[in-house]
Amino acid sequence: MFLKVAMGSLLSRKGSAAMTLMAISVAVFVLLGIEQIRQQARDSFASTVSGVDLIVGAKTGSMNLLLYSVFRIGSPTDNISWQAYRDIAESDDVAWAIPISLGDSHEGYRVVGTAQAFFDHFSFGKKRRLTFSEGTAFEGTFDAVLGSEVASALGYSVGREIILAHGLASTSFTKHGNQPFIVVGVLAPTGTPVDQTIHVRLEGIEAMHAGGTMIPVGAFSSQSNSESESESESESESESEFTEPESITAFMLGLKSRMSTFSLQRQINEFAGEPLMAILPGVALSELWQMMSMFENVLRLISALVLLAAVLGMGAVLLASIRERRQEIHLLRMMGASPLYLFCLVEMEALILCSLGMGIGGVGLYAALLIVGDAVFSRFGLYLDTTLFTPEAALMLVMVLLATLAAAAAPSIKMYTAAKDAT
Amino acid sequence: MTGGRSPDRKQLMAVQLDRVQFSYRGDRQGQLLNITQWAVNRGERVLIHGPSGAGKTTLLNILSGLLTCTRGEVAVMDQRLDKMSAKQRDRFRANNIGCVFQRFNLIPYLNAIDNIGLASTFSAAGNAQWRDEASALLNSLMIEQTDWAKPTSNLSMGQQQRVAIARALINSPALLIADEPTSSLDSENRDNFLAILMELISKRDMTLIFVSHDMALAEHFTRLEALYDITQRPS
Repeated sequence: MFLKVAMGSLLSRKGSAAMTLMAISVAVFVLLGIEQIRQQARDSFASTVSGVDLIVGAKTGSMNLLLYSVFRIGSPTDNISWQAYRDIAESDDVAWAIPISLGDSHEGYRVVGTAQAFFDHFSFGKKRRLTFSEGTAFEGTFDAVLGSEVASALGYSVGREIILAHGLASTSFTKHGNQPFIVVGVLAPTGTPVDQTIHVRLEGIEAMHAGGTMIPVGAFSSQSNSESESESESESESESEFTEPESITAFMLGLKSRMSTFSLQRQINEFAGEPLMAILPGVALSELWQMMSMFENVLRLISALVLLAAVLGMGAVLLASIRERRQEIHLLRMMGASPLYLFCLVEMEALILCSLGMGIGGVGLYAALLIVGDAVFSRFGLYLDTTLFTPEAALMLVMVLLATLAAAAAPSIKMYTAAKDAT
Repeated sequence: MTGGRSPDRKQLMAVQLDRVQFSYRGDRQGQLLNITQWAVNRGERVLIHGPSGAGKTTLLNILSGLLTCTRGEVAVMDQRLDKMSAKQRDRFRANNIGCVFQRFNLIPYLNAIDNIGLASTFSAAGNAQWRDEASALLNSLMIEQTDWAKPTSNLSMGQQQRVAIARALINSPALLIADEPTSSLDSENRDNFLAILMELISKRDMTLIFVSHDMALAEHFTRLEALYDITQRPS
């Protein structure tokens, strides 16, 4: 009956109740939505690289190495010699290695020279492998594989010829116009910087810089061939056959056993030949995310303020209603209702508005995620999970309830005193 | 607390006021009410009349325990209201006193049945059979069954006042307080209202304190009191 009275009371003030309900629904929508996006963004960020045990580059800050090797941001301080790569890649603990060579671009998108191992071993998210939305991995020296965003932004598809430029600007003066690459594959969206990258073979980059004749296909594979070939000849003007690159920018390692991660990291950091450093991508990624926690907190603050505005609005509406309810208060008092009963009645009305608002906001968010989820995924590679009821979300809803009760305290107290003085 | 329905209740007092003074918020100059001695026997039907502003409603609020007197003793059904806590008075009122006013007797957003049900929730007994009793009351008050679930704002004034009687009687109070309940009714509805009310009062052996400025109603009552007389009567 108590619930019936509270419901009836709200229904008798449909207009203001509906507006308040909408405000709370929107606030809950924003609160849960931002939390959802924040968590997904964090997860997606933390899993930009997975399955890679170590990233190795020239000695620099660990952030810098992470930024240029994974996010293609900033520039490497130095290259590392092919010999050092070979030495480490062939050590017993290493299961596979992915070389990375940076420095060229196409229309502002970075070009990465790498090897077949990249497609075989690189993974992101929860150990998800790269997949192709179109075409296949590169086989020929001048084959290129595009990240999904590159392909969609530039409107390229398999078969397209592209010219790479030295440096990063799309207006770079040094274009390797003599040697076009051919797109052979387009990767499916990953939500990682891979989407914004053009992948070619290391030989392609070398050959292009060397002067641009076709090089025999398949002369190189990631780690274990052509021991006999000498290094430091890539700059030679020899047009006869492929030579190993003199240097690469960085490389990623997968280990046979994770147990050896730290010992290998130490070995690399103390590498005799040249100054190298190895970082654990997971650790470096979370350090980087820590730097962005400010941004997270701002998002949270905004949603908290939206909620605050909504519950204060509700408090104001309820407070205004008490004045019109004097006769009702008197009648209830004469029936035997205590002031506490009337206090609880107003709190109950607030709780009803709040629960309905949480329901509407939650269902609205769920529907919105279902509708835009695919679009967001294919557009930004951000996978929006539709599981709303995480412990964090539950905690937030509890906080919404508490905020509601607190905001409704003012009208409830006013109701209480009005009830005490009712005659 | 229930007012003790013993066979000899006629000998007991329904209301007993002794040197009661009342003023709002300790305002001693503006003494609103000053009653030396006044009593109502059980089973009496008292009509109190007097000019507006004389303090009739204040008196009723003191009897119902909604207001506490500034000094003096107030006993209703032989229970001392002035000695009860606010909580006890609320409970006492729900169990022992029914009220009908001139207007706004029903929660407008509840239907007739729910208004009666709401009133029953405040009684100590937690009346489990309230639905049956409400039906019986509404039937005897000649409210059509089709009107029971209608929003009370859709009922006519006469119907609303009769539903108000059912609401006031659902907890079987020993005392019914009525504050100008007929003033909003036309003469036909007023006579109808009074006839039904008096029938229920006598059937249930209740005490009635009825405030009105309409002296034409006097025939229905066993006792006629001017508020002026109550307040000025020497001890």
